[in-house]
Amino acid sequence: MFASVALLSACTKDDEGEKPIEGVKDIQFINARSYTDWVYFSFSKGETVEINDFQNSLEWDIAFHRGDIRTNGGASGIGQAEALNTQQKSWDAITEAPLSGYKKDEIGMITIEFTGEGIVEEEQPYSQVLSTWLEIDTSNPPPRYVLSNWIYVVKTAEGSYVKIQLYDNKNEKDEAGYVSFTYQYL
Amino acid sequence: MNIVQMRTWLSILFLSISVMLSASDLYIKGKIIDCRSKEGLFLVNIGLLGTNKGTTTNELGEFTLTHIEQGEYILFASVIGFEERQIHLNIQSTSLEDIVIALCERAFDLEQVVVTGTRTERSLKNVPIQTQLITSKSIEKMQISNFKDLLEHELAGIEFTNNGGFANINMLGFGGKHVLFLIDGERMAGETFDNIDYNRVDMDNIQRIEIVKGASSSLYGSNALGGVINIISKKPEKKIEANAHFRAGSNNEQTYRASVGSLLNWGYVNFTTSLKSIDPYLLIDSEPVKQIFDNGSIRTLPLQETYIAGYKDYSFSPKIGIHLFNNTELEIRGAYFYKERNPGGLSGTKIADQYHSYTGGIKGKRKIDERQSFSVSLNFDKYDKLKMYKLLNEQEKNYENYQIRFGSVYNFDWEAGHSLVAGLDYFTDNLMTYMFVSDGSNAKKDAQTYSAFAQQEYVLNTKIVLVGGLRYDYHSQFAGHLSPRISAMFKPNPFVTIRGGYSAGFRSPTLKELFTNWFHPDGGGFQIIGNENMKAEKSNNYTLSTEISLGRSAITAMTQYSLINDMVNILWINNDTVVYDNIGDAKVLSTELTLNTRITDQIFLKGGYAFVYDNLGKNSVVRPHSVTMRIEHNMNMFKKYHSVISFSGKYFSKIHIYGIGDLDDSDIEIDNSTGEEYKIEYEAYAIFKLAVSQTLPFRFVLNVGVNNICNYKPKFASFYSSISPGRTFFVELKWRL
Repeated sequence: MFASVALLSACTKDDEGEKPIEGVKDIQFINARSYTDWVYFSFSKGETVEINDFQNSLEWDIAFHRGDIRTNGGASGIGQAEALNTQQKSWDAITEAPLSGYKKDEIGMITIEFTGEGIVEEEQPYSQVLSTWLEIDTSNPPPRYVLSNWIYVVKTAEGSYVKIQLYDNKNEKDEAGYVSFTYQYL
Repeated sequence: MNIVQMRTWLSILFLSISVMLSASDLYIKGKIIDCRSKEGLFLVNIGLLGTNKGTTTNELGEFTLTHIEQGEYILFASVIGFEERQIHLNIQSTSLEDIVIALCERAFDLEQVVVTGTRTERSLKNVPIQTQLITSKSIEKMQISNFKDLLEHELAGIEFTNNGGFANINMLGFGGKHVLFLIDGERMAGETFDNIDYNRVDMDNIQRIEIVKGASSSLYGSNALGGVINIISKKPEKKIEANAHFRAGSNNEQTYRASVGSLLNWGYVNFTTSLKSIDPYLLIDSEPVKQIFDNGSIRTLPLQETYIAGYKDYSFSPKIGIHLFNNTELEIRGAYFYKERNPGGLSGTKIADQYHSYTGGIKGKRKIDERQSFSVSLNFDKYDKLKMYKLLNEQEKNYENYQIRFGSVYNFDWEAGHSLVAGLDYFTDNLMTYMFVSDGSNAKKDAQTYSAFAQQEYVLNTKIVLVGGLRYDYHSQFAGHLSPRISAMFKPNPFVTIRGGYSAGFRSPTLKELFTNWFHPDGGGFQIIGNENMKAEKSNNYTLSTEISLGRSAITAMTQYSLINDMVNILWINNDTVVYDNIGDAKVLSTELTLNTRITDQIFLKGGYAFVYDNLGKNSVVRPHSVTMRIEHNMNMFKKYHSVISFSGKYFSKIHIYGIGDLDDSDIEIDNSTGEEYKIEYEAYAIFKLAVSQTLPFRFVLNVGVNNICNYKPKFASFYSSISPGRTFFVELKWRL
């Protein structure tokens, strides 16, 4: 009896992953202004974490660099992370993680420096799916930011699923280069 | 019986009666009223032709002429702005009472006095420089609550767009830095993207707005190539005046205004105050912005939601006029204005932009003799911007601009029409902004201008008037410059007036154009850098206008052509830096046609069409055609409670805006060096409004209206689109003592 309960709970745990944080978590104004450094965040801890070797660590799930985002998987890390755009903007519409359609991080060009004489770009791994959270409208100068407000489902480094909505790229002073989001374990 | 027979008969009768009676205590009592509103008219000249009997009406429009002898008279009543009327009167043995004469407003206020073009009072029809007028009466009838909408609806060639969330004017092809706004002849400090704070203009405190298009270099500084818009504020005309005004409309628009004034033996006092607010509103794109590339491919941008900022502002403006020693007049005025701007959306929960402006001015005018006068004025205007961080409860001042002008003007009229205006001006502009130092800290810059000017008006004969002017400006950064001006007015017959002129313009770059060093944080960011090595803009400007008045109609055609050398603009030098520089020469041509006609005594029609062409080609941001129309119907359905229905509209033609972009770059960045050219089409649009005004008992007036009747909404909200929220409604209650 005990064994079967233990077995059952073990199975459930494998299927759904652990839920270290219950309910909706709101994270505000993470400073991602640096062009050189990424800011790493752990869903289970609910806070930013210091990471020295991001490609060989399971301590982080998602990371931010200006408008760029990476997840701990694929080209970015040793974790199981991958991401999917649900194409939904209503938080309550997503109740469970879709079975397929996830994409892992790949190498691409990101801006790493503003010199005043031009933009410097570099090849780095990032999540092509999640980076659609922020579009820059250059239809007329000056360019302006457009938040897509998509809800994404992200697999964490350890294989759990969270839904996440990145809703703000500015801080309390309305300066850009910050990230605010809500997330919830599914 | 015809009139001649009757007159003869009556004359004989009166002669015989007057022989019998030698009356002297007879009188004529009556009232002069507005033929539409039925309200009494103040200060109407009343007299009996061929006698020395005359008087003016009191505040209720009443008059009494005493000690009238028996006889037959012609009584006349005249006042500026109204058709004169004469009536025959027979005075027999009894006095005449209850004579009511209704005067109708003139079709066009050609008798209106204007000051902007010559800095002296001239009647509109005789001013040699083409001047347009918006009177307080037409402002009242249109029931427009803000200054921007008023200009846009009344003048064909004016368009306001939404430049990064702030109003941006285009007047016949010229932007904010080429249009000079004045209040009672004085400049306003502070700008946002070269535009003044239009909310500072209190709509209930406007006597009239004078618009002089084309460079009026000699009197106001030579940078106003687009024109001068001079707002003349109200002065009390009665012993006691009081107004109260309440308005409510869509998007939680609320306006409260009050003013009190008094015309006294020693001068006047006036005080106005206002409080107005409107909530931010959201524009949701119904179609995406399409970038159409040369090879036919189209890049579709995502649909967007754009917040249009709301605001809350209030103002106080006291003004005092004093007569001293019967030849000197002193005017002291002040004003305080505060505005809080709510950008709406997520930003609106974090920040509020706060603006303060402080104005103080003193002006003395001394009449030396009948022909000469001298005036001195000192004006101070300051405009501060602060950012309020709501979540942090912190405040940060990031802009402070103050301007001081000290001026003196001498007027000499040596014969009717021949006059000289000469003056000296000192002007200092001091600006503190976070945009001057690359780290974003506040820094100060200033510039001074010393000017001398003279303008001579010379009446050649009854048909030709010439005006010549010279202005010399010495700018602390750009040394001296002389700008001449000449204009002429020709009246070949009583119906036609032709005006033409040439003026030179000179615009020293603004402090921002010279000294900016600011990292614009949006879209990845880019640096904007000022340029101290730029040359000043120089321009040659030509205007020609024809005015034809035929009875109830007047048609005006005006063409303006400007050639600007070394135009200052921004240039992208690479993908993250823009600099100010002289980009070359520009030509701007505009033509404007206006028609005013009083179809019947009750129906008035006004139409305007403007065409603008510039040689900026793909850099042009002007909609080439625009049309305004207004039709007004005055009615007297309820006896003395008259109603006015006003229907007006504005149309703008479509425009293509060109840009550079990468067609297949998913990682969108600004990149002008490698991209390909695309265009975005902004559709043509029209906006109509309907307003009804009803006079009520107890001096109340009720106004209701619908803006944007056809509920036009732009497909996408961007730089050059309309920002109308669609159909909106308002109701207004006014009370006037």
